[in-house]
Amino acid sequence: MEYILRTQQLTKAYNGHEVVRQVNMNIRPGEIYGFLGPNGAGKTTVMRMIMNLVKPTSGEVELFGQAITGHSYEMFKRMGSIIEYPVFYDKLSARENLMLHGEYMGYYDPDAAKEALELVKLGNLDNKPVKQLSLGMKQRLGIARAIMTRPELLILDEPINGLDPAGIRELREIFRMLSREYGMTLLISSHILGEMEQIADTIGVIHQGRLAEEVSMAAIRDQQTAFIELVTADTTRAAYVLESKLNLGNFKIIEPNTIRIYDGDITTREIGKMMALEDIELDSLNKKQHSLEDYFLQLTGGEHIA
Amino acid sequence: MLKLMALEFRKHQVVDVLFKGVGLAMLIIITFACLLVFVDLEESVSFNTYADISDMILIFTKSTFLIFSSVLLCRLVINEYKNGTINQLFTYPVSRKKLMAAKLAMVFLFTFITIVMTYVVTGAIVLGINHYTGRIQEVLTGAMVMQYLLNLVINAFWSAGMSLIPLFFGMRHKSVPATIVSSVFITIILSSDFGSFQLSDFVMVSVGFAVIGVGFAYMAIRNIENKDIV
Repeated sequence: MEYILRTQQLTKAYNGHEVVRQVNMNIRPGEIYGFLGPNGAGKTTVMRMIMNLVKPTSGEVELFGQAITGHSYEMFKRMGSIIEYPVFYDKLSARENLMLHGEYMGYYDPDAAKEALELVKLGNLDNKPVKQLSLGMKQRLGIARAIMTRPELLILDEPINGLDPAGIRELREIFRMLSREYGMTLLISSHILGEMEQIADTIGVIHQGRLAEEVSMAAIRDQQTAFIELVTADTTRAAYVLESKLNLGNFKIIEPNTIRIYDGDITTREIGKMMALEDIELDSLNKKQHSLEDYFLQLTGGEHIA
Repeated sequence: MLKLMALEFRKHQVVDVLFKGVGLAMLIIITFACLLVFVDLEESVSFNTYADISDMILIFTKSTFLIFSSVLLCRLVINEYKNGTINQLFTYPVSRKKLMAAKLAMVFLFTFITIVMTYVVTGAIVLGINHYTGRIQEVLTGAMVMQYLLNLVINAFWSAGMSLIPLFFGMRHKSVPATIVSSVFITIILSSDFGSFQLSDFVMVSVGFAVIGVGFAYMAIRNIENKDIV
């Protein structure tokens, strides 16, 4: 099985208005797929179609190599999900909610609920009804529920919403662990670029219902042209040194005291050494990258997604 | 199917919440029936025969539990939509049809069972008290008992069908008040007294309402696999 999840020309229209247009997603087993897009881009609708809650207008979703039809249920045993925000039976305790989940999923490991709660650091919840938990705790409980049946594929819609920075970091660790140690495949949506950047292996960018780009993070990092920025009072001499002593042609003086060097092979150390030899005083010397943000802003036509 | 129903029981704490209410309603019906039969202010002419008493108890139980069942309907169906827990439920590896059928079957059975149970208990208590006071002179034969019980089962059955009518009104806007108010309306329409008869005395009216209820339930289930849950 090359892909654990694929969508083909997936389209959803409400009242003739297309909110998801011809989306082709390809998710490989074991990877963390970051599904990125501004609010209202169609992320949740796509995820609802993946979970069979919303029926596509046209196109199809393929899970574990099988297309979803109106009567396919078995594959959902192998999946866990949070769609939009996790909902629970409010008056029941966290444990009871998880036990019920296990029953419906046909997963009867008596320790599963406890283990899942401990994994998301909710092990010490007593029998409080879920109603009394904070938003962050509910979010974590939702993740506990999604992973307690050890699914092969996790669908998480905005899982870090409502969490504090420490909570976000914990979750990031959990996601990495699920992927690396349990071999789960994760589809995580977010409108927060910084988060995706840190954990995703592949990023799919959705914009106005279209999948604008699907690309591996490694490729993005390579693509981003790095440059070295050099700040000095004496740009003329510095430029002369770069050109004649270091044989660099690919640089540009962008401001009266700033030079950008686009040549990929030279290191800051070499430049610094040469400048010191030539007795040119440097205010700063830094390696810089176009931020990913710029890249994604380009894709989404400048709409804010970070 | 039985398992799904058992899970619904657990999930919605049916035992905790509803059964207390059912117990209370039964108590009130019993008290009321006893008061009407045994405490007469003036020499009343009503409730001197078992047929009268049977009818009276039946009307009480039917109206009470028809309304009561709409509360259960809200918990099992309407609230799941309103609170969004249906989102979770429908991602399980179980067909939506089965999930929904289990819920509606529970409402149906609840109405049927509570009506039969309350009638039998109330009837037994009235008979028991009558044994000592001798208020009712008529002799109760086995055939009469059979007749009343048969009538009870038939009536409970129609009521159980009717208990699904509020589903239609409640689901339109996923509204709890709409569900309960519609059940109250049905009860009022059926048991309102036009002098000497009630609408529900016409068998065809009861049957008609019951068929409508089951029809609404069928409609709700039939297309559910293709509905978008948003």
